[in-house]
Amino acid sequence: MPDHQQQKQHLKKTPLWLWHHQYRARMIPFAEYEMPLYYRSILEEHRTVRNHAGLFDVSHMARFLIRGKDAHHYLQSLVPSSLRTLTAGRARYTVLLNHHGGILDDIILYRIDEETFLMVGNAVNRKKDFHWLLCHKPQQTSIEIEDLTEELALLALQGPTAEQILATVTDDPPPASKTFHIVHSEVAGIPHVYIATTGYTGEPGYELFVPAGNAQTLWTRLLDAGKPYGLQPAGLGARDTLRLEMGYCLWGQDIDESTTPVEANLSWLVAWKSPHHYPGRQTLHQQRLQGTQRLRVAILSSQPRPLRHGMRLWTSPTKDQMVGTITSGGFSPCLQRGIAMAYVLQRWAQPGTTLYAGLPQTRSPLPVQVSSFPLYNRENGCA
Amino acid sequence: MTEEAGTQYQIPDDCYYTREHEWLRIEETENGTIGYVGITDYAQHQLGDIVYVEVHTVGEHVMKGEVLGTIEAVKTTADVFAPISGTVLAWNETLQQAPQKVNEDPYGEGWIARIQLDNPEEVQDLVRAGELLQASEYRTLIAGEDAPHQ
Repeated sequence: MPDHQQQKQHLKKTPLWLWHHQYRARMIPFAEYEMPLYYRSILEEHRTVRNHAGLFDVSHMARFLIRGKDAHHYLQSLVPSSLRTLTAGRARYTVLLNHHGGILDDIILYRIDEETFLMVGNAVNRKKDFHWLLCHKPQQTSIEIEDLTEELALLALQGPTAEQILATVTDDPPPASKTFHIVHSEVAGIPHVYIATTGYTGEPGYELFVPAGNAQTLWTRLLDAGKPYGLQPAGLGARDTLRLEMGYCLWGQDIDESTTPVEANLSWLVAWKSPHHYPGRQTLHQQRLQGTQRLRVAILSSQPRPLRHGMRLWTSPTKDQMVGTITSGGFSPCLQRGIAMAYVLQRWAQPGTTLYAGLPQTRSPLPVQVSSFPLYNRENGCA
Repeated sequence: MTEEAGTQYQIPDDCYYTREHEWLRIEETENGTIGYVGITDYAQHQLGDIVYVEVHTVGEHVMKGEVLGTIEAVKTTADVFAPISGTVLAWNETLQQAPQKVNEDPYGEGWIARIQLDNPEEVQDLVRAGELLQASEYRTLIAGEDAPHQ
């Protein structure tokens, strides 16, 4: 049995830490924070988000404010996506790249107004991202960059009833179907909340930026308002299984500084025809022409046994040729079988290809299929 | 945390316990001494939602401490060790369709394997050696592991 006793004294706390403890969440260390893994059950919370709604505390995520006349220009110079259509009130998923095209972090940029942007990155990359932003800031411009991670809490309200719930506590909530937008509003009597139609679950919903001092009030008011709509608090465990069903990358597992967007099957976010310069541009264009050895793909098992990070993929049950490695694996509560994402050699990356998955020492690898993202489709439902 | 550490878990008096959090319930039958094996309420709670159970040793002889099978929870994988030596007669095949029974009823419908003991006296030997614990001793063990941390 695993040893769960960890040194927790030095871990950071989000503004909702006390609530999680009082609600008896199972807490785990995650990226320097002590975060709720689940409150009652990962499976139950997963299904609640797919069928009703879940409320997540994701205040561990890194948040930066970037402000100034040239902020738009400056951000454009850092990312391979075109930010031409990132107008005030809109958001964009993109990546920061190093000079070799490797992914420093995957981020969402929110344009609050003409000169003000919010950037959300992964908690583990907070210092690195901040440093990267500062280092690449042109000297002669007056761009301000501020780390707001501790001043702002971030709550995610996700699920098919999220819009109905939000409508009970705010006038004129933005439609959840209009994704990648952001508005400033008052929510549940709390002023200065930014409501974004973004998330990491594949469900319609919102991410709410709220001043840290008001986080707990907003959290409990949302839970109260959501009760008739099946809202439950949900932890990082469900967040992980939900994003895996959708094929969303987790930085540090599925993407990192040694993978490029081309290999990671994220070519869609690269503006190939845009002439703008950004770190890693040359590598990306080269890979686009010449192809890459490996590609990130979805993996689907026919059995309920969870697939795991670190499992190898072979071309035969006798493990003759190893052609890939699983970077994120688990059990799909909606599909009731093992699912994963993996990097495999291009020749074996076609959907429908049968491969065999197992840890290096296994004697009987499991048959699995290369599939396509997302692994879960709403039309099929989640029992 | 108002409850005394460790008391929130079921620890039935009619079982023996291992330090790896398996339970062993002895039954005398006309075919000899049989041991039922499962994981404890504390263990299922630590693992979280169990989604897959496999016992690959049915029909085989296992020594105490050898791996009997594997439990897969959403987040983790755990081995189940034989609490005693013997021949694995059967495993609980209902867990194939309903692995969550290990969470719901760890000492009943969630039993994992049935072992024909080599030597019934091994039970008392292991108790004396401190390798099999009585319910009260096991309660003390998990109270130590589960002490509240601030």
